[in-house]
Amino acid sequence: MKSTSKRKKLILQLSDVCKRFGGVVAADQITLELYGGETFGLIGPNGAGKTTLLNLITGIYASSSGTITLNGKNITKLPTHKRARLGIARTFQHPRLLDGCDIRTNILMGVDLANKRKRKGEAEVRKEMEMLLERAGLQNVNLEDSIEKLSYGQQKMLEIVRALLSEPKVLLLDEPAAGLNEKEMEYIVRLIQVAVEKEIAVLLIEHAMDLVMGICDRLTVLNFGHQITTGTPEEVQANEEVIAAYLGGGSNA
Amino acid sequence: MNIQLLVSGISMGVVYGLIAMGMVLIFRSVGIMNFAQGEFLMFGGYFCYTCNQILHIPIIPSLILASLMMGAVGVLFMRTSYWPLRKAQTKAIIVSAMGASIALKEGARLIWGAIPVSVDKVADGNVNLSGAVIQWQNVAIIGIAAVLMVLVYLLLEKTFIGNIMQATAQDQYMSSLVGVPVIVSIGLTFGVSAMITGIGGGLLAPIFFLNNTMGTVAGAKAFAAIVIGGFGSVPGAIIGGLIVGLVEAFGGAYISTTYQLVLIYVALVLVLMVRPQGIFGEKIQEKA
Repeated sequence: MKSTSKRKKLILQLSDVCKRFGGVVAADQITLELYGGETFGLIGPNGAGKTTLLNLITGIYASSSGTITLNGKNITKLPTHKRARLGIARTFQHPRLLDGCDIRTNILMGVDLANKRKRKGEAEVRKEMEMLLERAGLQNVNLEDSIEKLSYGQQKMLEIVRALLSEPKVLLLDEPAAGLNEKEMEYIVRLIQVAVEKEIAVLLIEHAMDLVMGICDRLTVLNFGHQITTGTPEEVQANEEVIAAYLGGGSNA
Repeated sequence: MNIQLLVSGISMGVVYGLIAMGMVLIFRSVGIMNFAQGEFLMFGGYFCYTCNQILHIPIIPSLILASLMMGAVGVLFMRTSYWPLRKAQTKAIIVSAMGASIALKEGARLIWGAIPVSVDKVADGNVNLSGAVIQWQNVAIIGIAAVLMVLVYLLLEKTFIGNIMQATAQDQYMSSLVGVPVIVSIGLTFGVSAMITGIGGGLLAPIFFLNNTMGTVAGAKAFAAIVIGGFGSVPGAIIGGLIVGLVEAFGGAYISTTYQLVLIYVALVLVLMVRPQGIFGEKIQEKA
């Protein structure tokens, strides 16, 4: 989210992170710095290694080499649930929620585990939840309803609400706008705005170029696991290698 | 005669139901049919024997102690025969469970010997019900199993830990992302599964005597119960267990004890002919 350039706090740092699957290099010496309140885009053609990078940050994949630090703490060797508790949250391209559970259980699951309901108090969490649901355009849903009653777009929104409610330091969004209509896209932007206000570092994978160029402060372009360039949207759009590899492909998909 | 058969059929059925339930819990959690589940029954029985007959602890505390020990065995089993292979092919994990089953069987023979042993009954004596002689032990088995089934239901549906276990069963990655330690959650599932199955061993011991191969047969019957009840369904496991127990009791009395196991499989085939997905199973939908 474009903002005034006040001094930001370094939250997530990747230094020379590599991931090899046999002979395939899915992430090749990736170096990134994410600051609180910054929206950072990650773009690249299909198979460029964007989701692999998210999986390396969450710890589902162990990196072959390199280090990942969160708020100065080395988390490279930590298991996923510990990283989650330290403040890494992610959403999925296709929403992954608990089938057969009501909406409330789905939203509060992460909060319960982080023990925030006790610490912050039930009322505080409820207020926060209502604010987030309102921003997501979900203020009229019945929280006792089963999760299957929500549309695809609403489920995607709910995933972000769940992530934000757990008060992460880093929010990883994997194609949040894919499959959504214009109106729903607006809600996504509003939720990202909330994250930025809360000084959360947002890492956004997205194919909708208008969205990426419109809301990202900086972005990095990946191709075949390789980091082509990192910079502001203007710098990236002007980069010839990027144009050749991606943007110039004749489509904006 | 018929009431007698009915009670003994139901009491066997609930024990098969306990084994089947244990198998279903693991199946839902990690997608693997645990072919060593029957050995949990046998081991639980022997633990109960050690507490009750060797250490002279009364039977009810013995059952509880045996169940707790089985919880530890379940966790250990998960850590040694499932966890290292969790990213391997399903086949590898199934073979590993079969290997563990042999190890448990032979381990039991090493520890407790090959001579069948027994434990005290929870409730001694008989009751005469309009001419039918019913063992109190059978009634106790039904009661205890019913309580256990309710407890497992409450654990899974009404507690936070149960929610975590179910969440992990649905989606391990998503659960770990909201902070669930997956290894703990799966460990708990294996532990609970072994606990409920293990108690069954202690309950059966006064009726059948314990030996180190009893688990294999019981496990096969529990597997039939799961298929009859519908793969992956907890209520299905219980109903399937009851059907197997009743077919065994009545088939044994009216047709042939030699062919009891065959009759169970005939029942299985009949159910599958009418409902291929089992009684409580969900139909796998064809793609539109």
